[in-house]
Amino acid sequence: MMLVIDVCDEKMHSAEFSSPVANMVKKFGDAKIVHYLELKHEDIDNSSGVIICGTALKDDNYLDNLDKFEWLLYYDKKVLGICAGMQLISLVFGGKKIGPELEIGKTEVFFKNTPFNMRESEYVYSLHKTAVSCPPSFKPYGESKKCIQMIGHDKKRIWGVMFHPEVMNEKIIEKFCGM
Amino acid sequence: MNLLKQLVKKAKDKYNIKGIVTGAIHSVYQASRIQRICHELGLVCFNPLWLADQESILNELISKNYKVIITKTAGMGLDKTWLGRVIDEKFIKDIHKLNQKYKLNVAGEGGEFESFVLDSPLFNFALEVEDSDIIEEDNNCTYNIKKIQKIEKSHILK
Repeated sequence: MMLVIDVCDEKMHSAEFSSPVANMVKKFGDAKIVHYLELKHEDIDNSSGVIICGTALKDDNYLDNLDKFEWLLYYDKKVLGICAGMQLISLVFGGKKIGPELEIGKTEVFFKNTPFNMRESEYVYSLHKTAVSCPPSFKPYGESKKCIQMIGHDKKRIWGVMFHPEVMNEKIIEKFCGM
Repeated sequence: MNLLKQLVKKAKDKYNIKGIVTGAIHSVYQASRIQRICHELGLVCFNPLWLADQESILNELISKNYKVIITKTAGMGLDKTWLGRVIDEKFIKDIHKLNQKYKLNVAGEGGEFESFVLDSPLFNFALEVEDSDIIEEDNNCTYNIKKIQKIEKSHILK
């Protein structure tokens, strides 16, 4: 069962940022959406992997609750962080916040050696005002003109994308589910 | 400042709105445009239908008693006979045929058609078009509403 973690402060945003991801995951297996403030140990233990979703541009409350994501340091299954999710992964693993770095809409990203079959250059859908650095033990796999867009852990199966693959790059979610 | 941003700013200044709810489903162009305006004006942008199944949304309009008419067409197979049509089961069947033939988006997310809501469960009054005409241009047709009236919902129920 894939654990889809909702980080939205407003419930109404969950339909926009978490449900579409969960619906895509359900094409390949089970998925359960849990808000990060309601996350239980058994949810983490029973999961086959984790996707941490994004949230609205104006919502950055998740950044004040980094301690709620420290379990990521010890989690040994696959993880994909989307936008806010990538920011959380970076910060928990020792990366830094960079910004403000605004990107809204169709954005060109240059990828290199990703495990997600990305072409050298692809368009993605961006919606963020904060960027992050590539933390220690991670490698950058993609960059736009403004910031790092994809990171991956050197040894663990942990990836982060700054853009929203559920909008224009569904193949990333499909590939992640099959890993 | 673009026209849409001016209008949103007017609503913010006049009514002190804190955010906007859009009906964007899959149009990256529309979603980005409104997200950018909201960001620039310090508003929250809600898109509760984002990436939802488009045919299910059309069916939900019917099951929840929305009355929505087509007011503009600009897509293959959508001639002026579509103007003023209510979104009902027959509409969904017909638009589905055009989707299969021309890959036309069933919810009009590519700008294939525009719509106008005459009634919804949220309305205190329904609306009824009293007078209209059709404006035909090169690649599009518009249902021009010239006169509209408010109707008490209780009258409709009778």
